[in-house]
Amino acid sequence: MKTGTAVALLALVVLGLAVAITVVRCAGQPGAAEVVVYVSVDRVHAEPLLDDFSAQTGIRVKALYDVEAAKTTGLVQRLIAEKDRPQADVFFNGEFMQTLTLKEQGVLAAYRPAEAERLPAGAVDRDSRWTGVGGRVRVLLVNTDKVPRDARPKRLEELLTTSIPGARIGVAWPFFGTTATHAAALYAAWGPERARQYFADLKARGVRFVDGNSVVRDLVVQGELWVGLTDSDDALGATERKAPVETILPDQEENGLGTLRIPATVALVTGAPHAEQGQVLVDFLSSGYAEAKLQRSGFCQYPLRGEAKALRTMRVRADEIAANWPRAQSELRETLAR
Amino acid sequence: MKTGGPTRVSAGVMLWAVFLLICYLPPCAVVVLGALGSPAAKDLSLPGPRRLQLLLYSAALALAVAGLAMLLAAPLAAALWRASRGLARATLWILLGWIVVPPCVTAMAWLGLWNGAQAFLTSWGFGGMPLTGWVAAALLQTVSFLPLAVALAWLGFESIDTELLQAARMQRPEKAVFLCIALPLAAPALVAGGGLIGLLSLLDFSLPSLCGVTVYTLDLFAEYSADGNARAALFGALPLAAACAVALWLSQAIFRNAVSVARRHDRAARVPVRGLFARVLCVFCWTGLAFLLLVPVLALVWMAASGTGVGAAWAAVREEMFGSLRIALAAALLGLLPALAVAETLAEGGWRSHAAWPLVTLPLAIPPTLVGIGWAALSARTGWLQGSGWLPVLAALTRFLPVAALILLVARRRMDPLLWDAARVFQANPWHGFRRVRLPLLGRGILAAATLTVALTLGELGATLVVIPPGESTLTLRLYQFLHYGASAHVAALGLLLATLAALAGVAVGRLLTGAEGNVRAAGALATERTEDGAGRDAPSRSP
Repeated sequence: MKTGTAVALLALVVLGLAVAITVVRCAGQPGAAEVVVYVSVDRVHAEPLLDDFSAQTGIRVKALYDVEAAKTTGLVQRLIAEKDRPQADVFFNGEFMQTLTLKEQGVLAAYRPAEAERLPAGAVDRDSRWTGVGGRVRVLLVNTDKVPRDARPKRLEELLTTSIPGARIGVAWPFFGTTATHAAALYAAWGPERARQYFADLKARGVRFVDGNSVVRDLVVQGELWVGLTDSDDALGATERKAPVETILPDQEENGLGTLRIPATVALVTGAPHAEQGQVLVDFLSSGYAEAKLQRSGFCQYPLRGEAKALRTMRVRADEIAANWPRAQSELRETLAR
Repeated sequence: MKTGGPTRVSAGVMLWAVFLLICYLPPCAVVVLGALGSPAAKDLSLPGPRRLQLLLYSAALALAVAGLAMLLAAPLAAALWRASRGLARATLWILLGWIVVPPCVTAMAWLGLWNGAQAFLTSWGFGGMPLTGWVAAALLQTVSFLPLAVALAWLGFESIDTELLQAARMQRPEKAVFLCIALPLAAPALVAGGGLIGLLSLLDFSLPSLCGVTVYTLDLFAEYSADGNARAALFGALPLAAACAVALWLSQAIFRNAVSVARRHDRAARVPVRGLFARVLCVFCWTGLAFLLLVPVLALVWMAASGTGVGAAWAAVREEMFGSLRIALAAALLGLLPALAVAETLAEGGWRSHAAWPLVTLPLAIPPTLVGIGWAALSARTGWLQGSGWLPVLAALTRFLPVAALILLVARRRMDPLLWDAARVFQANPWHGFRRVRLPLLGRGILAAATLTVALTLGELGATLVVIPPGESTLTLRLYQFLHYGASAHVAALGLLLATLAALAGVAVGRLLTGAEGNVRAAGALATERTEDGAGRDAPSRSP
C-alpha cells in the first residue's frame, strides 16, 4: 500500500472514531437525575455555584453558558426557538429585561421558590414567573492616572459638562445588555424626551459608544478612555487587577437620581423536561446561600437580603422599564446609529 | 458527476442533494417557518434614509480597509513568495494560524501598543491623541485583518505560472519582470483577496465600535436584539448578502487562478532578489512582516506569561478541547463525500459548472447566527436531533462544506486529466477505479479539505452557540467567555493555543497540497501498470 493511501486511511479511521464518539454521546446516559440550565450569568461566577448544587443534591447539572459577544440574544432567542419543545429547565439570567421578554413570549412557567417571602417587594415577579438574585449596579469607572480627583464626575449628567474630552468618555451601546436596561430606566425616570436628548448630547459631545461593558472597562484600564459607564462587577474586576481606577456610584447626592440596580433573575421554563429538578435548582439559586456565594465571587455587590450598603437606587419599577424599552430602543437607534 | 453509469449518476445527485439540504435548509427554515414569527410586511420594509446612509458609510469603510490591507499585504506576501522556504514558510504558517484568533484579541494588542506610544509621547510633552473616527476604525480593522490579507495575497503570487516568469526574464530585467509580469498576473487574486477582506470588514461591528464608529451591521444586530425577529434580520442582511456575492464572485478568481496553473510550479524560477531596489524592498517587507507578527504574538505571550496563563487555561479547557475536536473531526468526515461530488461538478466545466458556482459560494454569505437559529428552529419544531451532538456538526457543515468543496476542486484540478480519463477507460468497475486511481490521486486533497474544515470548525462561534447541547462547550466558546474579563492571561493562553492548532493545520494543508504531485506520479505508475497488464497498450499515462 502506498504511503499516501495509508495516511488517508489512517485519517479516515480517526475521523470515523470521532463520528462514533458523537453517536455514543448522543445516546445519552439515561437514569441519572439531571437538570438543564441556560446561564447568562458570567461563567466564572455561575459554575462554582452549580457545582455546589450538584454536590448538595446529587442532581447532575447540564449547563449552557452565554458569551458577551452574543449580547445575551443567543440563549434568549434559543429559548424562544425551542418554546414548543424546550430543552432547558431553568434560565439563570444576569439581568432582568430579557427575562421579562421571555415572560411576554410565554416561555417561563409560574413557580414561587421557597425563600420568596424573605425577598423585598419587587424582587419576585407578581405572576411568579421569575425571582431576583443578588444585585449589581451601574457605576462610573475613572482612570485615576488621567483624571485628577476634583475633576471626576459624580453624576451621569456631568458626562455632558465635565472638562474631560468627549472622546475620552465611553459608554457601551445602549442596544444590548445592562446598558439597554439602563437607557430604558432613564426613559422611565426622566421621561422619553429628556432621556433621548441626553443620549443625543452624549453623541454630539463625541462620547465613544463601544461594544460592551467589558470593553469600556478595558479601555479605561488601558487609559484610552478616562471615564466610562459600566457595571459594578466589571469595575470590580479592574480594581482586583490593581488597575489605576476608581469606581464611583453616580447620582448619590441628596435627592439625586440614584443609580440603577440590576438583579440577576432565575426562572423555570414552561414545559421543562425535568420540572421537579428544575424547581429544586430555582430554590437553590434564589437562596441566601447562593446570593452570598455570588457576592463573595464578585458578581453581586448589592445583595437583596439584609442591610444593603448605603446606596441610592433609581426609583423605577421593572414593569416601567419594560414599558419604555421598545421606544428607547427605537429612538436610540435613530439617534445614535448614524 | 459526469459519466460512469446510472449508479454513479444517482450517487452524485444524492450527494448534491445532501449538499444543498445541509447548506440551504437553515436559511429556508428561518424564512419559511418564520423561525421566531413576526409580521411579514415589517420584515420586508425597505431600509430608510438613515440605514441607507449607514450602509453607504459602511461600504466606504469596507472598501478603504480592503484597499489598504491589500496594498500593505501585496509587498509583504511577495517577500514571502520570493523566499518560499525556511523562515518564510514558518512565517506563513504563523500567519495562517493567526487567522483563527478573534480579531478583537489582535486589536487589543495593537491598542496596547498605541497607548504605550501615547504614554511615551505624553512624557516628552506631546499631547495624546484618542483613537476615534472613521480613519482610526479603518486603520484598526486593517491591522487586525492584515494576517489574513497577507495569506490571501501569498496565495495569489503562489498561483503564478512560473514558466511565464522564466520566459519574461529572458527579455526584461528582474524589476520589470516583477512589476510588469508577476504583479499583473497576481492582480486578480489580490483583488479577490481584497473582496474577502472587504466582506469581513462589512460584517464586523466590534472593531469600529472601539473607535466610536457605527456601522450597518451594528444597527441590524441592535434591531434583532430588541425584537428577536430573525426573518427581518435575514431580509435586512440582503444588501450585505449582495455585497458578499460580489466579494465571493471576485474570490473565485483565487481558486480559478490557483487551479489552472498549479501544476507548473518551479521554485527556482521565482523572481530572485537582485539589485538595490529589490534588496531595499525586501528589507522593508521583512521588517513589516516581523512587526506585524511580533506585536500581537509578543503581546499575547507576555500576557499569558504574566498570569497563571497556560497551565490554568489548559486545565480549564481540557474538556472543551476534546469537545471541539470531536465536532470538528465529525464535520470533516461527513462533509467529504458531498464535497467530492460538488468539486467534481465544478471541475467538469460547461454549463453545469457555471450554474454550480453560485450555489456553492452563496452559503458562505449566510450569517452564522442565522445558520444556528435555522437549525435550532427546525430541530425544535420537529424534535429531530434536538439536544444531540449532531446539531453543532451540521451547523459546521453548513458553514464550511463549500470551503471543503473548493479545496477539493483545487486538488482535483492539480490532477492530470489524462490519468483521470485513463482510469475511466481501464477500470474494471467504478469502485476499482476509485480505489486504485482516484483515491490515491485525491488522497492528499481529501486530507487537506478535512484539515481545513477541522481548523475552521475549531474557530466557529455564532452558529455553535445556538445549537450546542447543554452540558457541552467548545474551545472558542470558552475563549469568548474568558474574553469578557478583559485581555487576561487566560485569553492570551487560549489565543496562542488556538493559533498553534490552526498553524499546525496550516502546515498539514500546505504539505499535503504541495505533495500532491508525488501522488500524481504514483497514480501514473499505477495506470501504466494497468496498461501493461494488457488492458490497453496505448493507454495514456504520463507523469507531469
